[in-house]
Order: sequence, then C-alpha cells, then structure tokens
Amino acid sequence: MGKQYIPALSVAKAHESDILDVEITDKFTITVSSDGYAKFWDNTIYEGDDARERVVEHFINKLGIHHVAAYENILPNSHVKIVIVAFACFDGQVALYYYLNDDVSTFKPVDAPAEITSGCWCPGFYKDPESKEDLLVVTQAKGSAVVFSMHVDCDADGNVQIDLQKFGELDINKSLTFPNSLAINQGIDRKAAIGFTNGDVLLFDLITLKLVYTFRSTDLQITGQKTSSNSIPRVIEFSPGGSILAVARDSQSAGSIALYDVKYGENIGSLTTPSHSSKATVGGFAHEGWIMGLSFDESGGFLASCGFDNCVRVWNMDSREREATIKLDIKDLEDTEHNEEMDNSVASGVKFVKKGVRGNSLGTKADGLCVISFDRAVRWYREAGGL
Amino acid sequence: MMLNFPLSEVHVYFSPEVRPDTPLKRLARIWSEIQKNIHNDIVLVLQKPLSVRKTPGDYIKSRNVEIRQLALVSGEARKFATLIKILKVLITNLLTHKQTTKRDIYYQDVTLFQKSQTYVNEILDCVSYSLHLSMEDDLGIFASQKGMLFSRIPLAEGNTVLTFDTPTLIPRFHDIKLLGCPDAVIILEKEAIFKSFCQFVKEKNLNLLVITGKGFPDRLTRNFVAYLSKEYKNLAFLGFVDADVYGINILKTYKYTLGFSVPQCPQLRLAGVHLLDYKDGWQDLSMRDWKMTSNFINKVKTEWNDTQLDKREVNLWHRELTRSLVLFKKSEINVISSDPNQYIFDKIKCLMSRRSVTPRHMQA
Repeated sequence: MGKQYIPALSVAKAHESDILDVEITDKFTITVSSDGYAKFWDNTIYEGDDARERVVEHFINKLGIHHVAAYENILPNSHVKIVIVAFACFDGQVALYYYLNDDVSTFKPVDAPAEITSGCWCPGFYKDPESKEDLLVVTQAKGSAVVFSMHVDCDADGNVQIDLQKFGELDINKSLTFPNSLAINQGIDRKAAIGFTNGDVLLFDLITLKLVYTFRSTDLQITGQKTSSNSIPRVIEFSPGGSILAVARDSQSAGSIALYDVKYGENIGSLTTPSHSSKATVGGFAHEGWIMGLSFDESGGFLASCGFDNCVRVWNMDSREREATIKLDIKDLEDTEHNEEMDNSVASGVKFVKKGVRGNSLGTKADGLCVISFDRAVRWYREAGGL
Repeated sequence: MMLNFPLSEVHVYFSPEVRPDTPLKRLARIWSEIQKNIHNDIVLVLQKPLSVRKTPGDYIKSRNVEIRQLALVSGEARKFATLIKILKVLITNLLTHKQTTKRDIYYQDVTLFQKSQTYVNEILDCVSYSLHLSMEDDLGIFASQKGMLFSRIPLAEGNTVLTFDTPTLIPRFHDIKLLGCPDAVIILEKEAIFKSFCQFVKEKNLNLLVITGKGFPDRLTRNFVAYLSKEYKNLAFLGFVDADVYGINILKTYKYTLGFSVPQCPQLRLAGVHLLDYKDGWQDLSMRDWKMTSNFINKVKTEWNDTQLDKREVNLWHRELTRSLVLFKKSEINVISSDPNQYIFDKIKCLMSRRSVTPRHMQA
C-alpha cells in the first residue's frame, strides 16, 4: 500500500443515467451514458470550480451510448490537432465525430462507412507510432470485427478529410459468442484482443488479420452451455509497451485479473487480494465483484481496476500487489439526493490521468485517476505528494 | 363421360342478414336450410379471413370457401362434418345461455377435430367472420381465463358478491365494483411467486390486492387492471417482474396498449426486481435475449412519446435494460433471495413510505 490517492473533484449527477465509459484526452475527460449524451469535462476543472457549468455536452443517440474511444493526432504538414471520437450506441451504430485544436465547438459528425451503422458493439483506434497507417477496429454483435484503415488529411483552408477504407475482417470462427470487450495494442506490433462471453480472449494480428493466440478462461465451473460461461472477460487492456495483456474476468460473483504475455501467449500470473471469502472456489480474486474497468498508467508500472465491489484498486505490476484501494460511496458526493432504486456506486470504469494532463498548479506533477459510476457521478483523484 | 348425380346442388350461404336479428336467428336460419336440403348436395359457402392485422381499422381481406356435403376428398368431408358439429354446439350454447371457450368446443369431439385446436379455431373464425358475429358478445366464446386475483376485499358484479380470499381466476365482468379500497395493487409476473405471496399476505393480514397474469396477461386481466386504475386514481400500482426484456415487456403490456399510444394503467411502476438487487443469481443473456432487448429499448425510445408524464418510469426501464445489455446478464424474481415474499414486502414498504402515507398495518 504505497500510494495514496486524494479526491480532487467529484461531480454528482453528471448524467441522467448510468455512466458507461470514460476516455481521457489531453484537453477533456469524455464520459458517455445510456442517457444518450457525451460530456466533455475540461481537464483544468478543479476543486472550487463549478464543473457542471464548464462542461460541454453533445447529444449523440437517444438509445444511449455504451462505449467511447478517442484518437488524437496532429495532422501531417500542419499544426492542426484533430480528435476523432467513436461512440458505440445501443442501436448498434458506431457514431464518429471529430473536433479540431481541442475546441469542442468545432464538433462535427464524420461520414461513417455502412458497416458501422448497425450491428456493432465496441470501437477501438490504433494510432501507428510510425504514422504510417492508423486503424479503426469495430467489433460486431454477430461475432466478427471489421478493420478500417483511416487517413486524415487537411487542406490549406483547414477542411478536414477523414477517409475510412475497409481493410478487412478479423478471421473469427463465427460459432463464438458475443464479443464483449476489445483492446488495441498501441505499440509497433499491431495487435487487437477481443473478449467473448464464453470466456475466451482472442489475440489478433492487425496486419495479417489472423488469430495469433487464444487465451481460454481457467474457470472450472462449466455451465453446460457453450455460448456462455461464468467468466465473461468484461474488460481487457494492453500495457503501454504492448507486452502484457490484462484480462478481467468474472469469477462467480467475484472478479479476477489474469495477465498474459502477448509475445509468447502465456499466462504469466494474476492479481489477487488475500481473501477468505466463502465465495472463493478456485484461485484468488482481485475484486469482490465483477470488474468493469482496467487502465494502465503511462509507464505500465501500475494498473488500476474497478468494479461491482464499489472500489478502485491500483496494482504494482512489478510486485503484483495492491498499492492503493479507493472505496466509492454515494455519500462522497456533495449532492446526496439520488434515486434509491437505481443509483449504486458500482464503479463502471476507471482511467489513469497522465501527469500534466490535469493542468493546474496542483496537478501537474502527480498522476491521477478518473472513476465513473452507476451512481451517475464522475470522480477525479490525484496521487498524494509530488506537488 | 360426366356422371349425372341425381342430387341437385344447393348453396347455403353463411352471410349476415340485412334486417336486424339475433345471433341465434342467424345460426338457426342456416341450420334449417341445411336440414331442408339434406337430401340434396349441399355446398356451404363461407368467408375465410385472410390476414388479421393487430392495428385497428386495418382492412381484413377474405376469400370464399366452399365446402361440399358430397366431397371429393376426405378432408373436405371432415370439414363439412366439423361445421355441422360446430353449428350444433353454438346453437345449443346460445339456447342455454352458456358461456364457453374455444378449448371447450374442441373437447366436444376431439376425434372429429383431428386432435387439433387450431383446426377448430380456424373454422370458428370462418363462421364468426362470415356471419359478422363477435366471438365474445354474440357467440359467448371467451378465451380461457388466465389472470388470478387475491384480495380480502370482495367484489360486486351486478348483484352478486364475489370473494377472493383465496387465489381465484379473475371473473369476466361487465359491471364490477370493489367493495372497499386496498392499500396497493401488486402485480406479479409469475404464478409461483403469486401463490406464495398470497399466502404471505394472508398470514400478515395485509390489505393488498394481488394480481398475476401468469406471464403475458390476457385481455381480461389487462382490462381488470385498467378498471382498477381508472377507479382508484391515487392508489399505488406496483409491478414485480423479472429483470429482463420479457419482464419489462409484461409490465408495459399492463401499462399501455397499442404500443405506447394508449395508457391503461398510468400509475403502474416497476418495483422489482432490479438487476442490481441480487448479484449471485444472475444468468447470462442468450443471443435471442440480447436481440430482443436491443429491439425493445429501440421501441421504448422511438414509440414512446416524450411528452407523456411517465418519463421517469420509462427511463428507469431503459436504464435497467441497457444495464442488462452492457453486463450481458439478466435476473429472475424466483431466485432473488431465499425469501422472495419478504423481498417483495420490503420493496412495497419502501415505495409506499416514499408516497408519504404508510398504511397503518404496514408499519410493523
């Protein structure tokens, strides 16, 4: 327990409904909800500021949004910065929008290819570190995934062209079940991992579009149904270098985190807390509830996880031990009026905030965390010390 | 060479009379025509409805069907016999003022009806459609009752008083009145839960009116709930259904008819079970569940008219179902806890207390 995280800011009733995903860009923290709105919280908002006054919101889809992915880049031969945001909506559409130079007032929709207007589940961007070819990967409810190559250009007048060409489909055996989760390795070797509800996580090469490894669940409880398991890989995440894939699976009513070596396709361990839970059947658990969020810090030395036990844990990847635990409670919020039937402080997502992103004299040197929850609040924390 | 039958062809038309008459007269007219011409070759001419669309006012297409007494194939001969049998049953029922069900008619001659309820239904539909007679009002044929009711308050139907202190089928009603006011109306999706909860209510001596439609409610159950809703505008109506798309859809069926256009029981609220109430009993969605759920939330958000008052309630359904999609799980009321009755009771208490007035005997 080496690290300490201090609440920096919390916004109660940030959305009308469950907040389902969060993405951090240089300028904004983007949250999406089943109320259909995407909200852009300025990263410079701090304690004392009225966050709800400075937020920019955009209505995306009346059925609601469940995933968000963002792509940030400086356009070639220019100083124009573009952010492309992909919103996965409950009607099966992946809606693409962009804005320029971190100014959300330039927020505009992108003409999306027909393949992503229905039947989709989860989007992910690949930003090529060598700037040769960027990709958009979208998993589909029927079990496959489409890969687009993405070219962004800007003419002299500042008009932006975003061109998405279908690159291919990942070679997935269609008998597999629902693709629940997606992670893209942002390193030089282009890889994508997709988690299926039967417990399998498939690792793909994004150049050949072929399957590289299958990481099966070690869950010993077989339900008899091939299509489902008690070990849904709810979230998966590559470490920044791309050498490790962290997979958070359900384990009965608890949650486990398994670590895989991406190069050799081996299970290299798991993250567990010492537990005497009667629910434990085999192995140890990371959380006393399903895990809804995973995030590596910039260095890859720490992993944050969160979930149904209303808590966030930060793990040291060298020692494989907990560095910090943050417990969420609805009473944390300054505005405690809530809907008793539905508002529950299940932590539905967590993201590390890089050092310097929350650009304020208080936050520049310390890294931080952003946590979203089913109690409709967004909470930011910063690491203690290092001011 | 054509064979010349000694019998002449006589057409008997199943058609509504022009002048006003009774259903019995229409049927009796056909019966006597058949009787008169039994020594000829009778051809019964009916109208078969082709497509019955659920939206009201839709034009129903039909085609002529002729059924011969001296049929060329056995199927036709059987149909002729079936029609005679059904006519006889219908006339007898009308004479004795007996109310019946399609199933009951089927049991009158199972062998003749080829052990097929749909075979009987099809012919019944032809008869009622051709003669412009309503199945319920004119012929006295009702769907079997499905909905159950439990209440310590009796009901008056006309001059008779009906008691429901044991779970009883909801009666067909015309002029009904509840002799008192319950504290709340509880609508349960499942019969098993209903039975045990009624026992619980009885033991605790609670003044609750408990209803189940055993899954999707039939029209009678829905009408009964609509009647209660109209009569007791300030009463709490609490629904307990599975936390999945089927459960919410059942609740919707009580609350609105014809999509979302006509509210039937605006007071009805989803009281349980919520997906997050009980985490150990969750089940995975099947792909079918998944598709149904996404179609249903689409329907909720596109058909439901935002200006209506129930925004909070419908958003609650939406929130519950989107959770189910994201988590890939659903939850059933049966496994909600070791004691579902206590769970339901606690929820009722909690919701009633928020309505500010808790009935006296629920405070315990």
